[in-house]
Amino acid sequence: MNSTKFKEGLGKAVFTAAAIICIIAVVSIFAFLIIRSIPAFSKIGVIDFIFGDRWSPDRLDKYEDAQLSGTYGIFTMIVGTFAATVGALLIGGTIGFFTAVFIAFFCPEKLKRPFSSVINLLAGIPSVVYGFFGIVFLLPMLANFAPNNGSGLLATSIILGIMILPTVVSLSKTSLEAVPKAYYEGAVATGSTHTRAVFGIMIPAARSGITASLILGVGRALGETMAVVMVAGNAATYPNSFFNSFRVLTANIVMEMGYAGDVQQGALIATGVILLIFVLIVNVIFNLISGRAVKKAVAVTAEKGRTSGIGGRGIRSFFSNIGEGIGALAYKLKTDRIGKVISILCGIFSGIALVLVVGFVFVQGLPHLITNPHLLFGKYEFASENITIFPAIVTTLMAVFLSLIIAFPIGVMTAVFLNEYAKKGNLFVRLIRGAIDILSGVPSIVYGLFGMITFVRLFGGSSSILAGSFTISIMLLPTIVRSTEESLKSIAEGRREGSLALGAGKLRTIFRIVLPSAMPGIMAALILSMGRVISESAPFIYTMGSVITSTPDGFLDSGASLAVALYQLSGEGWYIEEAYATAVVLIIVVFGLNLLAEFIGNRLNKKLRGETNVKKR
Amino acid sequence: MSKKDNRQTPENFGQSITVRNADLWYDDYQALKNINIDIPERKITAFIGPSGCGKSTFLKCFNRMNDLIDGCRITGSFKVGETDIYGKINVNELRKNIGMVFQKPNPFPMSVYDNIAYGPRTFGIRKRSELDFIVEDSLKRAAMWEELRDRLGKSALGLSGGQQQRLCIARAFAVKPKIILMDEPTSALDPISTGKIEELCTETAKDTTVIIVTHNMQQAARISDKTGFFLLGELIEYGDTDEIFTAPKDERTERYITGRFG
Amino acid sequence: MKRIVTFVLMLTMIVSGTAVLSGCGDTEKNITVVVREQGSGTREAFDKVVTDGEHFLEEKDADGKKVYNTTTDAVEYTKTGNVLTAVASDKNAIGYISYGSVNDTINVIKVNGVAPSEATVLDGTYKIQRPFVVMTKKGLELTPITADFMNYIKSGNTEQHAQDAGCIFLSDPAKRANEGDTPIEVVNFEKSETLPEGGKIVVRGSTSMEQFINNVAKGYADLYGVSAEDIFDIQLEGSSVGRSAVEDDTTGNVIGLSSAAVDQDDIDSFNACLDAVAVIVNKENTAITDLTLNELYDIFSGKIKKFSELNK
Repeated sequence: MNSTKFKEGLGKAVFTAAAIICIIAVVSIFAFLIIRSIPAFSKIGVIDFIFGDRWSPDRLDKYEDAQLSGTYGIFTMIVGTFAATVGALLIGGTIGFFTAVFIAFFCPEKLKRPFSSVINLLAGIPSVVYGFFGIVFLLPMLANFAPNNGSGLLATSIILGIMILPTVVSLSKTSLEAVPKAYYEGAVATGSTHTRAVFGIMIPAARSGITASLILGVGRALGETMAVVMVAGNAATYPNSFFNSFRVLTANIVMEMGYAGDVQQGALIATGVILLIFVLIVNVIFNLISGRAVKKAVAVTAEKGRTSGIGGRGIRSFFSNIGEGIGALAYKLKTDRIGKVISILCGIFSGIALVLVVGFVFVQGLPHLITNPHLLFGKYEFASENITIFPAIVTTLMAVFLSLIIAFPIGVMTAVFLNEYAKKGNLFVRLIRGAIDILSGVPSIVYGLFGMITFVRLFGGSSSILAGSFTISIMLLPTIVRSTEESLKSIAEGRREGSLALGAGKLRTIFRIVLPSAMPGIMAALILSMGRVISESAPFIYTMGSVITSTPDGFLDSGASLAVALYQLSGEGWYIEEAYATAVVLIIVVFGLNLLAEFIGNRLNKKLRGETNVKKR
Repeated sequence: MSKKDNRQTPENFGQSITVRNADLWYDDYQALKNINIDIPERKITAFIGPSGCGKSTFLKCFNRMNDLIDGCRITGSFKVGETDIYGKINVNELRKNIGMVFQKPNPFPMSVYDNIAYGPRTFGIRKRSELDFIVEDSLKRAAMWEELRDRLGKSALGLSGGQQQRLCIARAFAVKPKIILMDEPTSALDPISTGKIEELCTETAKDTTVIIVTHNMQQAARISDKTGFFLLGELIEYGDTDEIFTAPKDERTERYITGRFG
Repeated sequence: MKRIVTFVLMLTMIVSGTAVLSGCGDTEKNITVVVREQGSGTREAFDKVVTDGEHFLEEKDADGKKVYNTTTDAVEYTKTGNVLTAVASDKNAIGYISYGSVNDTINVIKVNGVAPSEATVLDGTYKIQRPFVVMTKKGLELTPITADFMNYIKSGNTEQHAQDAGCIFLSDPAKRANEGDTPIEVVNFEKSETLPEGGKIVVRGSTSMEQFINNVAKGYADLYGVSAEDIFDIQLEGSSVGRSAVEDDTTGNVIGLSSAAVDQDDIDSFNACLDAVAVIVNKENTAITDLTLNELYDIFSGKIKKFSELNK
C-alpha cells in the first residue's frame, strides 16, 4: 500500500517536473536574450532602436567606440513583420479553416484520407523550398501585373499563407472531427440541411480547437525566416504597397548574423528580443479583437447580451474566445450555400497549392536524383562537382533521434499533467499554459539565437548536433503538448472513471487506459515533431552547423541537417539541381513518415477497438 | 434561392403513418424484415422489444435519419398521410415536420435560447420578437418556462440530464412538428425526470402523433395507445396497448412482456 | 477521379492565364535592383566604388554616420545563388555577384566600357574589385601543419587554384600587402617528407572564398596523398566570423578568410588574390551591355527607374 502511494507521488512529481521544464525554457530564453541585448540597447538607445526607421549597420562598430558609425533602427521591420503576419493569416487562416471544413464535412469519403495526408505533406516541405518556389514561380507570375519583379507584401503573404495552411487545416480538422456526432444528428433531425448543421452547430462546437490552430498558424507566420527572406525583398523600408521590397524582423537576424560585429550582433539579438515582445503584443491584440468579436456574436445570438459560454470548457485558454468570432461568422454564413461553396473551393485551392509546389520541385529535382545516385551515397570531395548529401542525411537522423528523446517524454508528460493532474484555473497551470503559448509563438530564428548563446557555449563553444538538438527540442514542446492534450481531452471521462472504479491507481489509469486511448493523437504529435526537425533550418544554422562536407562522428560533432544543406546548396548558385534533388529527398522522407504514421495509427486503432475482430468470427 | 424547389412541399403533411412491405439492409445484413404497420394520428405508439431487434432502426426510417448511414438500403412503402416520404420530397422539410428526440440528450453547445431558436432560424425566422415568442411557447409546452426563464442565456450543457432531454423536446416543438419520434428518451434519466417526460408525451399527443421506442414495458403500458413488439427485425405483434399487455396473441410477445424471454 | 481532373484543369487555366498575361505586358517595367545585404563583403566592394562623382552608394556623412544611398526599392538577398536566381528569372533585373560565381544563366555587362577579366582587374581598369584576404593571428605560433599549409597558400601553387575558382592570383608583392606595409613575396612551397602534425586545420570566414579555399585545400591534401576532409574543418559563414575566429585563436590552427581588406593590429594578413564584382543582367536583356559607374549609381540609388531612361 505504501509503495503504491510512493509510486503515485513519484509519478505526480515527475509529471509536474516535466511541466516546470516548459516554464524554465521560457524564462531562460527571455533572460539570456535580454541580458545579451542590454549593452546594445543602452549603446543605441531603446527609443532610437525601436522607433528609428533607418537601419544602416556598420560591422566595425564596437561597444567601446565613443560614437557609432552605423545607425540601428528597426521600426520599418516591426511594421513589415506585422503586415506580413496579418496577410498570411488572412490568406492561410481563411483558406485553411475552410479547407478543414471541406475535409471534415464536404469531402467524399474516399478522398478524405489521401487529401489529409496530402495537406500534411505541405507541412513537411522545408521553408527554403517554399522560398525557391516563390522566386522561380510566384514572383514571375506576380511580375506580370506588379510594377516590380513581384516581391513584396503580397508575395510574402501568399507564401506564408500556404505555409501555415497545414498547421491550420490539420488541427482544425481534428477538432471538427472530435465534435460529437449527436450534435450533427440533433441538428439534422430539426430539419437542418447538411451545410447549416455544419456551419451552425459543428463549427461553433469546435471553436477552441480552431482557435488553437489559428494561434499556431500565426506563430508559424511570425517565426518564418527563410521563405520570407527569399520573397520579401528585404530592403529596410516600410511595406507601403503590395509590391515593394520590405524586411521582417526574422529576416534581419538571419541576413546579418553571419557578418555582424560587436554592436551589430548585439542589435540583432535585440531584434530577437523585440520579436519576442512582438509575439506577446500580437497575442494580446489578437485577444482583444477576438474579445470584441465575442461580444458582437453574443449580442446577435443570445438574448440581451447574456454570455453564451460553453460550460467553462476552453475559456481558460488564452485565446479561445476567437472561436466565438468564428461562430458569428458561421452564423452569418449558415443559411446560405455560400459556406459549402467556399469550403469546396478552398479545399481545391489547397490541393492545387500542393500540386504546384511539390510538382515544381519534383520536375526540377527528380531527374537529377535518378541520374546521379552519388548525391545520396557518395563521399564528399573537395572542390569537385560531385556533391553528396549523405553526411546531411546522417546528421538529420541523429538530430531527429536525439531531439525526440529529449522533447517527447517532456512534452507528453506535460500534457498528461495538464489534463490529468492540474486543477483548472490554478495559477501554476495558467503559467504552464502561458509558457506553452509563448513557446509556440517564439520564432525559430530566435531559438537559433538562444541556442547559439546557451547550448553552443555549454557544449564546447562550437556548434554541435547536441546543441542543435537541445535547441530544437524546446521548439518541439508546444507541438507535442498541444497535440497530446487535444487527444487526451477527447477521451470519454467514463473510461477513466471505469478504471478508477476498479481500484486502479491514477498512475495505472494513465498508463493503461488514458495513454493507450490517446495513442493516435500522440503518434500524430510524434510525426509532426519529426517533420519539424527535418524541415527546420533557421534554428540549426547557428547551433548545429552548416557544413555539408563531413559525416559527423558523434553527437558533439557539427553538421548540416538536410534542410540546412538544401539552404546552403540553393544559395550558392552552382548547385541548384542538387538543391532540388535534396528537396525531393526531403519530401519523399516526410511523405514516407506520414504513411508510416498512418499505418501505425490504423493498427493501433484496430487493436484498441478489438470488437471488429470478434464480429467477423 | 434562385433555384425553385419543384419537389413536393408537404404543406399538408398528414399525421398518420402507413408502412407496407418495408425491408432494410445494412450492406448484406437485413435489419428489418417485411414490416407492415398503420400508426394512427395524434396517439402515442410504443415500440418495444429486446436490444438489436430493429425498433430504433425502424423509428429512424420515418424521418430518414438512416440516410446518414453508409450502406443502408430501404425498400417498401412509407407514407405519412398521403405523402410517400421516400419519394420526391424535401428531406429537411420532412424532418422539420417529424421531430426527433434521441436516447442521449444532445443539446447543442450553445445557450438555452439558441438551442431552441436553432430550428426556427433554420427555416428563416430572424425577427427577435418572433423568436422570443417561439422560445417562450416551446418552453411552456415542455413545461420548462418557469425553471429556465432566467437562464436562457446560459449554456445548455450546464443543465441536468433530465432538463437537457426536455430541452431537446422543446427544441423539437419549436419547429411545430406534426409527428415526434422518441428513441428511448428516458433510458438515461431518473424516475422523476422520466415521469415528467411521460406527462409531456401525453400532453403532446393531444395534437401531435408520438412514436416512442422504449425498453421500459411499464412505460409503454402507462402512456401508449398502441404497442408494437419487435423481435429480430420482425414486427411480431401490433395492436392496442391494453390487448398487447393483457392478451397477447403471439407466444413470443407474451414471453417478452412477462419477462421470461431468453 | 473527378477532383483530379478538376485540379489538372485549374492548373492548366492558371498556367495559360499567366502566359496570356505575360504576352500583353507591353509597357516597360521598372528596373528590379538586386543587391546583397548591408554588411556583405561583395556589397561593400560594390558600394564603395560606384559613384556619381559626388556621392558613393555607401559613405559617411558629416557626423561620421554610415549612409547607404541604395534605393529602398532594391531587393536584398544574403546569398550569391539567390541573386543569380532573381536576376535570371526577371527581365528587368540588375545585380552584382562575385566574378567567380558567374555562370551562363545571366549576362555580365561592362563597366565604364571594360569587361571584368584577369587583365582588367590586375591593371585596375575594371573598377569594381576587392581582395581575398587570408589571415592568421599575429604573434601566435602556428601548429606545424597549419604553418605548412600557410606556406602552400602563399606559394605559386595557388595560382592554378585561384584561376579555377574564377579569381585573379596576385603575384605583385606590394599588392599582396596592405598599402604602406612590407611587401609580401610569393614563396616557394617545399613539400615535407610526411604530413606535418597538428590535427585539423580550422578555416573560418567569407562565403565568397569557398571555391578558392576548397581548391587550395584539395590541392594541398592531394600533394600529401590524404583526403582533404580528414585534415580540414572548413566552415564559412562570413568575413567577420573569420576575423573573430582568428582573434580568438589560442591553439594556432585557425586560418581566417575575408573578402574585404583587413587592417588590424592583432592579425597577420595577406591578399591572396583579387576578385571582380561582376554586374549582371537577365539573359534576354541584350540592350544593356555597358554602363558607366555614374549610370550604375543612378540605377542603384533609384534616380533612374527604367532602362529606357538611360540615354542609349
